[in-house]
Amino acid sequence: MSDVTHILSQIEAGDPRASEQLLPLVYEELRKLAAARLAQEKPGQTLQATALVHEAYLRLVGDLGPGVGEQKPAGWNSRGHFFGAAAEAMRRILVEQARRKEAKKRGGERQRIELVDAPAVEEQTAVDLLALDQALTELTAVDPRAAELVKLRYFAGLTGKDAADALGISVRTADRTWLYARTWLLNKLESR
Amino acid sequence: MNEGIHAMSERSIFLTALDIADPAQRSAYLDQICGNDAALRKHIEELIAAEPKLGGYPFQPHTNVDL
Repeated sequence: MSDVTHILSQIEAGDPRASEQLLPLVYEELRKLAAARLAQEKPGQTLQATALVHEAYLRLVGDLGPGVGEQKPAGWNSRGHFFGAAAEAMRRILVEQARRKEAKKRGGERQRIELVDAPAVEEQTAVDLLALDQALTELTAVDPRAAELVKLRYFAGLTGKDAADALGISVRTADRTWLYARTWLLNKLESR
Repeated sequence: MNEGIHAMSERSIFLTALDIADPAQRSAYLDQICGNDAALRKHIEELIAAEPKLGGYPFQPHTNVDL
């Protein structure tokens, strides 16, 4: 049994300290995976959060795809906890990266950045991500459930069905909540 | 601002109002549900105006460099 599988079973058993142990493990795995992938890729290559999160799941928990395998050692509740932690970890990783880019742009490394030939789209993404994350923090205060759904769908790349299962709500409720959350965030960013 | 109290209700008010296609009926619904909470009503109307502009927003992020 892996550390993560063990922690997930502790969470299922109602151990409140287990949740705190999950995030750092998932965070480290995602960082390692991203770094390893990037080392093999060509410069300018992009990775999708979805692919990273699913690979981390396979490595840390195992192949538990519902409907495909015969057995499901971890229930959807466990998957929900895992994806919740993975979404938060991806959010942190992406926000940290966007902040570093912002700092470099403002700081003394301007010349080097220009030599790197960073595409304009990438800059735009970095700025938008920080603004979006700020808006998401504000949404958390208004409607924590909606904000959690955004993390799962946006940062962990879960489908509507998987995100609904992870939160233990119906697909219809998840889809309606997603619509509200996206509208809320867009309105918040537009009114700045 | 006391938005926390409206947590569930703002979401459900928005979604219910969005489902009402007729502007007069929608307005009547908001009159009734928002009462004299002008800030809530204004925000719901902003959301309804923003919804058609959504498209695929927000697109899923890609991670590149510096991890």
